[in-house]
Amino acid sequence: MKLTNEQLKTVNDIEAKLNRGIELLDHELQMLLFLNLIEEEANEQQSK
Amino acid sequence: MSNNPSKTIAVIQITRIGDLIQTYHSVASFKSKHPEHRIVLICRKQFYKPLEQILSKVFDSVYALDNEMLLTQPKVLDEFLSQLQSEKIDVLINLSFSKSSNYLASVVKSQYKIGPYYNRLNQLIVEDKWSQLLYSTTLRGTLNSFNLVDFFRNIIGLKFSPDSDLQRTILSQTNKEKTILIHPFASASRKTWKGEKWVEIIFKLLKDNPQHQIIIVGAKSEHVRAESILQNNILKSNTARINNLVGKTSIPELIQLLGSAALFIGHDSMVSHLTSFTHTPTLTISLGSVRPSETIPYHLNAYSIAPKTKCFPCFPSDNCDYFQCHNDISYQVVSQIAQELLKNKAIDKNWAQNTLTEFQTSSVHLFKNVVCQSGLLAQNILDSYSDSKETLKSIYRLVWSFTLSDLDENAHLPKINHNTQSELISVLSSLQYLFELSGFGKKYSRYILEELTSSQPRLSQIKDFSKKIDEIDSLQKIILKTSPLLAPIIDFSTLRKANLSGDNIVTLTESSYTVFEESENICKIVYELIETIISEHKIQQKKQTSKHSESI
Repeated sequence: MKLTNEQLKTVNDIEAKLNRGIELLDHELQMLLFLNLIEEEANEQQSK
Repeated sequence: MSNNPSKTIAVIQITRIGDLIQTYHSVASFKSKHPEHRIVLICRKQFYKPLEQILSKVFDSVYALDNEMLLTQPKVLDEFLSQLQSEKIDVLINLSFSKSSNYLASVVKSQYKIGPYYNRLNQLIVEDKWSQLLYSTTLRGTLNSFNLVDFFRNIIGLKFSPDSDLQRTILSQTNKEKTILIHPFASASRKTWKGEKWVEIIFKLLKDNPQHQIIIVGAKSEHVRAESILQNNILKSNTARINNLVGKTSIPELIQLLGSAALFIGHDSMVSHLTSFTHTPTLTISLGSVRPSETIPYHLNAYSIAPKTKCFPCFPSDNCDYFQCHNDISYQVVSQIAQELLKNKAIDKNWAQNTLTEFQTSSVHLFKNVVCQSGLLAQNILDSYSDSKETLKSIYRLVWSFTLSDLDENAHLPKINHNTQSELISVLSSLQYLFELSGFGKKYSRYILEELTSSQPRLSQIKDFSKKIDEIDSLQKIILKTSPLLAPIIDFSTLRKANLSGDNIVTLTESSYTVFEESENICKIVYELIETIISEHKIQQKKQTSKHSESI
């Protein structure tokens, strides 16, 4: 699944913030949740 | 009923159906003791739907995420979370321990959080001790002997009550029929025997039990594999006695079938966990990454056979082309155990010694659930002596029950042989070293505290003492490599240190002192228990030697 430009920007922001030790905002944590859920789902579909 | 005001407790369980069933049992214990509280389940739709009727008995409300739709409609997550945020959650309990569930626990608002979650710096936080233990033992090694139902119950904060916790069936008394239910599948190939093995078992069961019918069950996706078993030439003359219901039963229907079956045989799977609702005599064949002590179905009629293969149990991520553990369990030993269970007889060591050959018992463990103060224990019933791994598993169970739940479990210590004694002696020397390191950790934590509370704290001294503590951590990691049987103590202590409580250097250092002190105490108890086991072994040896010389 391809991420939208907006989603890609959020991912870049997250990386930059974490590298500088800055706390993440709610929507950024939610993005990490989303990325993990879709990765898990994709793995599951692949193993079927 | 207590007079506590009603609270909302949300439980995250986004893993598979088997885990949902185990969660059901631990939450049902809570609900029966605290019916005044509202309990909310956060789960995945695909695993919740088949169990909807059962789960609604203990959960007041359910939020089920449609993971499959996420790939095409990302907005599903926003809608799901906004629905969830309408709940005023007092306590959030994450029982899944997956990366996704840890992030889910981080975004769901709650006054208190139990279990792992990520903080805003993307650091994993695990604050409660039972979750720390689950994270550091179950996820990292194979030295845990707590059933996951008991683990979850401890995380929720409940004590085991056998009278209520083991009587929870969802079927009224059903008549037993002459049927044997078989589910020859599991979620991964490493956990599943090849069809040929099942053909042999089915053939033997039909031959030895001419009055019985066999019912094969499974999901629609397992239909082709079921057909390949049933099309085997050996079974062709018996097809009238085999009822293939693969892909044809709902979960409530499956529970009815299990309730009336004389025996269930299968792998570690959703169907085997369903026997915890019917208490059907059950034999699970544990292979690959399955840990029978953690996932044996939660009832007293459950047995699990597992190979003694060196690499068993493995981790799902381990590469394996040739499943040696699949070959180490013969179909003969499985059918002999099944035969005894069909007679409604409990299996014990005497039966095994009289019935099974040494060749058969030398390659397998047979576990049976027995009641302990801390929950159900999968007890090894074939072997007279425990190896060092099984011995340490028994010791850790006593230690964690005592140190985390203040429960003095009145269990028998395992018997050992000469080989295990030698291995345990080498564990003792590493344990002594670990004990000393924990003592040094305490000492340097105290030095930091003294420096901090002095009139003029010296930063350079504090830095030096902190470095010493880092060195202690590195030395502990070396012990972990040389003595993997001590992993639960080291991993637990490492996780505790990563989750020190406190918001300033003084409280954090105090907390560090406490963790080293705990580690020191755990080492001491483990050391004393090993010494006691070795002494008992020596006494037994002396008795045997004197008996032998008397007879001469």
